[in-house]
Amino acid sequence: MGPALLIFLAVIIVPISMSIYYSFFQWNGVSAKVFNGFGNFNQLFQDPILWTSLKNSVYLTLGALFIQLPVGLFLAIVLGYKLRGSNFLKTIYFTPVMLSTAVLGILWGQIYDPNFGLLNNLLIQLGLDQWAHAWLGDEATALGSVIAVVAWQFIGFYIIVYFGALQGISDEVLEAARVEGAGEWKIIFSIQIPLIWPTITFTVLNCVINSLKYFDLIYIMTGGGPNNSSEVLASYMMKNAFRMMDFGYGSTISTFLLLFGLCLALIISKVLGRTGARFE
Amino acid sequence: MSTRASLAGKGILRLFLLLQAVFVVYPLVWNVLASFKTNAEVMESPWKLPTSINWDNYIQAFSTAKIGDYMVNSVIIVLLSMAVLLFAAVPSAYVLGRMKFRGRGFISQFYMAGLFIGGVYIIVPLFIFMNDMHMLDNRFWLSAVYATGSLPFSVYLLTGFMKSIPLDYEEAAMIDGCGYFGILLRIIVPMARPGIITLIVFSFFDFWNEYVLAMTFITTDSKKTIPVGLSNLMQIQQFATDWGSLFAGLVIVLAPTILVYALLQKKLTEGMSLGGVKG
Repeated sequence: MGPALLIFLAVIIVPISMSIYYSFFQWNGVSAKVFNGFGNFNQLFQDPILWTSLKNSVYLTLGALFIQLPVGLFLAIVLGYKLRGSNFLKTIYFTPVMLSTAVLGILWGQIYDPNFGLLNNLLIQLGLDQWAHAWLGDEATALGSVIAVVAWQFIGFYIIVYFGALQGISDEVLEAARVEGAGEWKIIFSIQIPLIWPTITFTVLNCVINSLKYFDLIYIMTGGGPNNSSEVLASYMMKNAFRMMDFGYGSTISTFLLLFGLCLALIISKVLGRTGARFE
Repeated sequence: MSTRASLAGKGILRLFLLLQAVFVVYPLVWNVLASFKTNAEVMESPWKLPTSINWDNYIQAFSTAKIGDYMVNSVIIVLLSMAVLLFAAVPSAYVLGRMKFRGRGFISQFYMAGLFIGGVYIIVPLFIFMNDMHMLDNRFWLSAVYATGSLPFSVYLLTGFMKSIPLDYEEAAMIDGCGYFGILLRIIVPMARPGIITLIVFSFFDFWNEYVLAMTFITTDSKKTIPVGLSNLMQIQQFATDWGSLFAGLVIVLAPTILVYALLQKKLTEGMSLGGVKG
């Protein structure tokens, strides 16, 4: 107990406070820290790239919420019909969740490759030549291309989580509804979804929190580019802190990210809690 | 459940399931196929099968790209992290799951809070702290950071398992004169084995795949882990345009995880629902 708590304190709680503390300084990590008051925050709110990153982070989060969760839930419900091979498919769906994001980023970089990539080739074969282009090199499509890969990797996670939750609903409830003449859609929307609402709340929160701090794929696939068009808050923070060696400003961004995430998490749990209460 | 869906309905549902399966699997299969292709073949058409199974790309990946060295680093770091994690998490979960004392709720929640705090929020202070303590560029300290980072989830998972062990065993052992450590090692650990195995497997994936911290905290090339080494390889290969060995490198990183997953997937998904990832 003792040692675990101690290192936990040292490695999680103290650094968060330190990060907030550093955000008030001008500091490159080597020379002495210069107290800067709210100077960094002033700079933050006037930094156009910050707003681009914030907007992109929000897009990334919304993309995750509105692709991964509904598709995950849909496929989990379909798997619930216990068609032949369902168990095997479940295993397949979960596979990318277990794989290295760095490696998947490189792999998808090759799939999006303008010269020999799968995607452009597929489009050309389908006669959609005009759609083929450098997906990651184009400001208009860079972020969207990454969002698609995030979805590709994590839909399986939500399938498994929702499937597990749906299994918790007793068959008798569903049979009773059927005997009463309820249609399949009615069963899904009036029984299954309300009954797994706590799980849905958890997944929404989990998805938002993870999307906000998402970084790996952006860094590997686009590096935030081209021209900051796919920069998100986490990648912009890393860039400032470790590439430009501006630890003060980097910490300011991460403090901003933390506060933004906390507010969002609070709002979401309030709203979803209220919706959940309506079901009871 | 034939009552639940008509035959046509079933067909459509099956189609959705299949589409998702192809969507998930095809990129990975494509990667494996490309790893056997020569450069010319890679450039030619992404749909063609390799003309022959040639292992040159793999040999190339090990000999010129030093994939083997990165792999050794990854193995060392995974093992070290796991040792530190088990040493810290098992006793913690034992105390939190089985003993009643003031502040237990607080400490449990404290751990729970850690579930939501990850990498990017603390990476700057952590970097500065490790720099001051001369812990940077050191495989052991990177492992210690990994272990600590997985502590909240691990304690949460194990506490659930430990709570389910009946108290009678402990009481009987205590009457026989067994101390707390004896109980932990002889009774709790063997009985919580499914939980501990789940934990080991999950943390294997986490540690083997971790990228951001490894990239930031390790600077010497010879100490880098395989995902970081591989992204370096990508940069080098882009100049050399040796696509085949890049694909081979990707397969070399993916293969162990896919293998472990294939062997243990049943245990894993069970562990997930037992440990309450369901929320």
